[in-house]
Amino acid sequence: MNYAESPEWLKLLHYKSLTFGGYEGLVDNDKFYADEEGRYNPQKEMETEIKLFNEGDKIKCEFPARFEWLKEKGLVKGNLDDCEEYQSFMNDVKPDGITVLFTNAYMSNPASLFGHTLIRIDTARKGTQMLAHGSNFGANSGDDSGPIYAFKGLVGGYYGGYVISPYWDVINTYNNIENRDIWEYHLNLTLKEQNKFVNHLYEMKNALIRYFFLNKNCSYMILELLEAVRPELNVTADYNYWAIPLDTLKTIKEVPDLVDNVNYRPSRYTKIKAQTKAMNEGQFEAFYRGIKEHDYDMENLSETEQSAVLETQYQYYQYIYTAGYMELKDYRKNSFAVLRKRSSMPEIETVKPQGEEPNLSHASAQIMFGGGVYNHKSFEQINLRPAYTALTDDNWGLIKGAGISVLESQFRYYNQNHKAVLHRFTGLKIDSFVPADKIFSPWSYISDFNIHREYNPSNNHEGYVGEIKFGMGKTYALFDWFWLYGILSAKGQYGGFIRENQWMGAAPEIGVFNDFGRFKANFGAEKDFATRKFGSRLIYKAETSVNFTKDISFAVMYNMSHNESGHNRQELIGQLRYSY
Amino acid sequence: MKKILGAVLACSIVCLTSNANAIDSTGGCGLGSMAWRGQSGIIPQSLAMTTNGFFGSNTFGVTFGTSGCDPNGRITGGTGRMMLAFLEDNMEQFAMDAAAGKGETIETLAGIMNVDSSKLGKDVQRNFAYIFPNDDVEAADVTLRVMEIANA
Repeated sequence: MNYAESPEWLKLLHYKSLTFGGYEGLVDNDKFYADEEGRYNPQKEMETEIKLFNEGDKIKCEFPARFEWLKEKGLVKGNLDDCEEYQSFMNDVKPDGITVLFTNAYMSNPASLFGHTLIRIDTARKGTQMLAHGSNFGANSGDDSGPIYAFKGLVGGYYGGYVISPYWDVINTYNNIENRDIWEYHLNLTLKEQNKFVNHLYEMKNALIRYFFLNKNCSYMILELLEAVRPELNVTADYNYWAIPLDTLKTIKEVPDLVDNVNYRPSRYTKIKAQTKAMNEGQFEAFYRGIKEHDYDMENLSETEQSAVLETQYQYYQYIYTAGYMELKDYRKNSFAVLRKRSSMPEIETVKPQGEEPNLSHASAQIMFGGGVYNHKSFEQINLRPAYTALTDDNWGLIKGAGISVLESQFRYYNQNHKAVLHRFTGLKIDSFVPADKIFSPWSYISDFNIHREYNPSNNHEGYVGEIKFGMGKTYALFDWFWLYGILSAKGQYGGFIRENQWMGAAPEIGVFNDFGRFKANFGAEKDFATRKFGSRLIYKAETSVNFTKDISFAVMYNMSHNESGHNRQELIGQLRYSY
Repeated sequence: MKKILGAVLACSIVCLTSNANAIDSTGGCGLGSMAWRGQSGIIPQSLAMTTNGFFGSNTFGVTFGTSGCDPNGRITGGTGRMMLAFLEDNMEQFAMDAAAGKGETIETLAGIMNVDSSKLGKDVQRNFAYIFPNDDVEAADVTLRVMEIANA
């Protein structure tokens, strides 16, 4: 048996077989290999390690997982008892299991709808898992931010590495500062696998890996770790081009018996929302008066009712302080006033928000088969959307009122003139409707970057226009199932066949979003005030869907636009959608 | 009194270096307790957005700085040091749990001190005004008082 060619060895060192034979290690820096040719030569790397380990070289302390594996195979002797740093790591961490963490989107930020994943090394310490450690794979981007960060991240301009921190830090960062829910997926590993996992994470502490946002990211690396620990798993195979955190989570969840427990840790924002919702009228009135007038007197309520109000008020102060809307001095004064009062009241049962397991959300890629009529011309069409979700798709486990479409193509075939065209290509389209209420007033926004075909009545031509649209506004939930929104957008189009090529405009829009569970609907009216007649128009749109399962739905869409030059455009489409 | 002294001793090494200035100058041991350290800066949503890239990436340094008062980002040390590290980073949540008489931070502290958590919960709730005598209380003082109450 040639151990150097075994999946155990190859996966533990993250070797990838090259197209024309041979191997290359995923890890870029020398510290990960004992042999100078180690990155490209699994055999030589193994021989060098066996030699050094047997000589008692301290390099064994850097590679505990490999050491233990080689020892198990009878190739090396000795132990890791004299590895001080490693022993102190194990003593601090006190491993007692592995949990995959998924954090969902920020409020008002559908781009983060893709989520984020990290690892928790559970602890055997007495107390709670707050004393466990989180391990995060991230890009070392220095001071870069915004577009530079995004660009360098896409092309592999950064190195990624693992960072460890107390789990309480992870909780504070995600739950309390960024207001994102955390989902904990506990892995059902054997003790041996668990030790190998921790040892391997320790090995990875000095590993630098070229970081690509799309595929070599946090979530892909967790799959790599899983394969290193359990080589018979084949979970990285589907992620050659992009690895969306939520998809990788589903992959992990789908491995039989790999996840044995799922736990939900709601964010501060989620808690405040759930707690205020559970309040009776008197409680809410007292809550609201407290946060607005800092008057915490509520003698009309029972002590139990008051306790609930005070706890929520405190969390609200934490929230607005963290968001930067309250001065430290005021924050302390008010939060302590609330807590002092609370401390004299009896214990209560805290309202626990119910989460929707993100792994149960619909699949992220979608194919849509449709047919319809465009100004009396019938057509068939196919849409391909690699990611991610639409407003009228099933939204279980996802953020309500959010849609994000990336690189969606729409091909059409017109029956009368037998013409096949790419009707629309959407680079990125985001709908983010977040209801504002008495307590929170977040912005809603939409954006759309696409190329699509339009008809120009003034010269009787049809051709491609590039379109950019970005808008902000507010959404109000009159009922849970009836949201009303108003958005003001800046909009522009460019196309060779438009008179003088381009137009810019302002586009106010009002609309309604209905969510009845399986049935969803979106109606909107938009008026474009444009610099050219071509762009000045009134647009009505309606879209309804029936979701048979989370992955299969049927939608009907109607679009009407009335151009100022007198041209009407009408389109009716029926569409079967399948997420896969 | 002897017990208080014991607690002071257990924590003394850490406490010596843990005045507000020392903590601030290191950039903190975590982000959760900013409100308690008098730092005015807050990570705005916009910055948080850039640290969390499109596909769920994360930068280290910002989101995961040197955490838990330990340069390696590890929870370490004996009871006193762990208590202080924990309270520095979780004071906000602890204040709430102490006022409510129960909660995850109380369970955690009870675990660190190896005492019964429901008793600790009741004790810290009853002594809330003693643990948090004013609005500008420091984590080190809270640590000492909680240890005192737990060992009383």
